[in-house]
Amino acid sequence: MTFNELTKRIFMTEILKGMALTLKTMFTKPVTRQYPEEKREALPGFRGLHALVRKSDSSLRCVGCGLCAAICPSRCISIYTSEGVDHTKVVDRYEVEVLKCLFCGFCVEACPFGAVVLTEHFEYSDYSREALFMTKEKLLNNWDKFMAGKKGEQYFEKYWRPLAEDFGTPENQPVLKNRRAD
Amino acid sequence: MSSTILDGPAGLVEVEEGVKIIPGANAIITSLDKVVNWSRESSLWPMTFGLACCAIEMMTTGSSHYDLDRFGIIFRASPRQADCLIIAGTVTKKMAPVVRRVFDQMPEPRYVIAMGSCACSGNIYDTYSTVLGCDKFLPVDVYIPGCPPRPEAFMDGLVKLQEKIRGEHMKWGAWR
Repeated sequence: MTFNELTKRIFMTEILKGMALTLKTMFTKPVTRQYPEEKREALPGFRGLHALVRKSDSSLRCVGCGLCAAICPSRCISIYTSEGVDHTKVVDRYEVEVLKCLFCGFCVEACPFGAVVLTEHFEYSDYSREALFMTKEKLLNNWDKFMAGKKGEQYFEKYWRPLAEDFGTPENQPVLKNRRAD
Repeated sequence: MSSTILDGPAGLVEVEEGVKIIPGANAIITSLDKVVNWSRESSLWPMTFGLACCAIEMMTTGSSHYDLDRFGIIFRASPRQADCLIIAGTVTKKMAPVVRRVFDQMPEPRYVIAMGSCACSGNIYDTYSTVLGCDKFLPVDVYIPGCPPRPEAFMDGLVKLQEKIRGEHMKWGAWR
């Protein structure tokens, strides 16, 4: 044992160092976030509960192409369509089984029209399976609740861009059934 | 019977819903349900059952930034001391009997939280080896989807379980 080690042992410097750290942290600010009272803002691009985009004329933006259902790894999206008047495609049912979803955001990425979003809402736990089975009406309500106003408008500009804009048809080219996005 | 003795003009003061205080007597009057539920919800000891990556998020929730001890939630490693079973992760068919056994070892009253999409419904693992949701063999009280749910979402689930316990009625006594 060297002289240095001996003095360390006699004066208990190691313990004193440790106690000094303990004393120091007693005067620092606590790091705990008091969750139910104090909620942290979700970071940009956070993927929470699903929602379907409501257009400005309060109709559904979804056209029922089924790309989101096709790319979904857990196959939690199911879309039922039918033929409406003048041969348009009508989305009858758009259902998301939230319990099966893994919140990867592939559906948002795949959607060519930007019709499905993952909101920043994360407090979606519930007591039953049925409550977490999202129908079309529930999903539209989610949009009104969590993406109302400017938030919804900015969402796609900031994080995702509808692919239809990237691969849009030129102006002089004839479009099938004369329909364009929106 | 005669309630006039207690409910006089100088009698009981209701301090909270269902809790009345007797002025000057240093005593309160409340229902047994309320006392039992209050004590149960404020010392909810979960049995951790981390099966996959959701367990990491569960541990994070126990850490000082989120701090479950504020709710009186202290993780127990033994089912005999636990009130609530948190199933965090994918339940495989081989693991399912074990989970059931752990649940059976817990004393009444017991609650189950399915944390994460895997425990709720199997998530993407629609395979030969995975149980599609632990509610196939357990009575799940709170479902928390997410892959994994963020700590706040998990805490929200626990708060919702506490709310459920608060609303219980006549769930005490020797029979159950």
